Amino acid sequence: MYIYFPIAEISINLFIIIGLGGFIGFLSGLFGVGGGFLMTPLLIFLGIPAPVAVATEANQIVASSVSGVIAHWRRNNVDFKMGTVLLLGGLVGSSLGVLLFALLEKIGQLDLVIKLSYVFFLGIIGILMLWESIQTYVRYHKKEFYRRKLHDHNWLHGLPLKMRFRRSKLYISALVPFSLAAFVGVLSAIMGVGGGFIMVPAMIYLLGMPTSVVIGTSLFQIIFVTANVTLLQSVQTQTVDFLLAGTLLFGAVIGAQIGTRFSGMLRGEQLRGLLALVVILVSIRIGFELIAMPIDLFSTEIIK
Amino acid sequence: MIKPLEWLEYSIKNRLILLLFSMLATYSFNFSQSYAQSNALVADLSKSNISINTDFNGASLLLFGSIAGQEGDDIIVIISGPSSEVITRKKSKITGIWVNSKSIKWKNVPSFYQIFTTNPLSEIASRDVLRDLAVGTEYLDLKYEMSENIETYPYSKWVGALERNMRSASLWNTNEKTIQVIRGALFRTQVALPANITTGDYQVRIIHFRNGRVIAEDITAIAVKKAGFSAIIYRLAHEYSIFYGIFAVAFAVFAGWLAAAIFPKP
Repeated sequence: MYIYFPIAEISINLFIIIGLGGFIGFLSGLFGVGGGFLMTPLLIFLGIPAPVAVATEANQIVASSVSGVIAHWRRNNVDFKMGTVLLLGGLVGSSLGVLLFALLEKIGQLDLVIKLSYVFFLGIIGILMLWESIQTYVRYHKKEFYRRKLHDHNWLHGLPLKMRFRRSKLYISALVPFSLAAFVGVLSAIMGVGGGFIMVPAMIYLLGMPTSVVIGTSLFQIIFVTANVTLLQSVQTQTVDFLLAGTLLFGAVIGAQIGTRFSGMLRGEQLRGLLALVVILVSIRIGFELIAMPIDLFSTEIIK
Repeated sequence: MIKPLEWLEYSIKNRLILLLFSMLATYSFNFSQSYAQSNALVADLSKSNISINTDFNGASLLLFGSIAGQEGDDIIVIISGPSSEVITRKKSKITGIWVNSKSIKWKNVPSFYQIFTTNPLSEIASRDVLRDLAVGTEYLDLKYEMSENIETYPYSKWVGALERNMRSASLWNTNEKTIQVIRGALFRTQVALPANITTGDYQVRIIHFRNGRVIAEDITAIAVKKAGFSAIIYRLAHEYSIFYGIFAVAFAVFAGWLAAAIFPKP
């Protein structure tokens, strides 16, 4: 059964889209990640124009983050004060990102920048995650345990505009989370992701937030960043395909439920190790597209 | 202000033009009548309105008609879609990766161009005849803007690339020997419109050839437009984009809340 997506202007089998949503939903339930970094490249791979894939995925992430944050909120695992600083930075960053997006599209380099960002950021995060999970695994088997310091003090703690974040047990300059979120916001707008895969490790290692509140707080701010991207892209490029987002969402909700039930079967570092492998594979796959000789050096696009 | 003498001149000129037009009209009316009687060519489509709704996956239609023909006659059908702005880009290897470097912006490319024939084009008419009739993508009068000096890369390569890319998207094609003629009087051909077609008016030209010369021609049209739910979404997104965006976000928030409510986390 084919369905014509009016904004993407492409006809795709309905079950492929629901299945894709379900598969990514399963992985996001399993690993506790948003899944945008897998969904957007797969949508582009299916033939959906990159601008539509990025903007539509932002719309879908709004929904998955809302459903995710509710569970964390109930368990009081959201630092709203930190979340607010982050979302302000995220709004600034994602707005800049949407402008940059339009500029890149105009000069014909959007695809390149999207792919380069994927290769670079997924590559780095994947390798770091894999390294970390291997270390944890080795330590677990050597039965070596040590208590980690809450966080290290470095030059970042010397910056002005210090704020106290009670829920995160932090007293740091608001400039650090603000600029971090702004940076991730730019990437979020260009890559069509929530940015959790960068934000979560950065919140743990850079800001030194306790692991328990990291995911909830990250999801909280992702809602606002992706909502902002959805709104701005709707106005600027009209590339948000509401029908596509809804169909993906339907599959993703069901997939996420199944994934969550499976996640209890594996230990934390095993899950992270597997996720790291998936991330590295996606990075290699996209990198290959950039270096392999294209079948046709020329490409043609109908503008209007 | 128009001075009296000038007005007179103006009026005479107008009358002359009017007279000339009426003569021309009478003449062409008579001419077309006799033309139609001797070389009757009538064509029609099984469907002349294509609606792109959410279940659209391309369309297939039948083009048929009658000719006052004889054994050995040929027919060429040209379907051309709305004129569009198109960019062709060339990739170059820069520091190990393939990057779009040069580009050309075409101003008036038919978004769809397919030819259907009874026999190979080269056997139906000479290149000169085809050029005069503008049958074939090589005779399109394309306007363009180059990103760089045209000498650095020959124009013909860009046209070739445009043609190749449009062909692989199944938007341009020459379907030779696809028209069947039945006893020199009836003809028919199957036309497939792919799912990626542009909306707008499509022109259908039907030309009847005998011994390499045109003896009759007819023109009809196909209208392709978005319809139903698909058209509503498209219109909302383009004409009320702020509300569309707000609605998309609101829907996502609601859907996310609903999902959390239906499936509480264990």
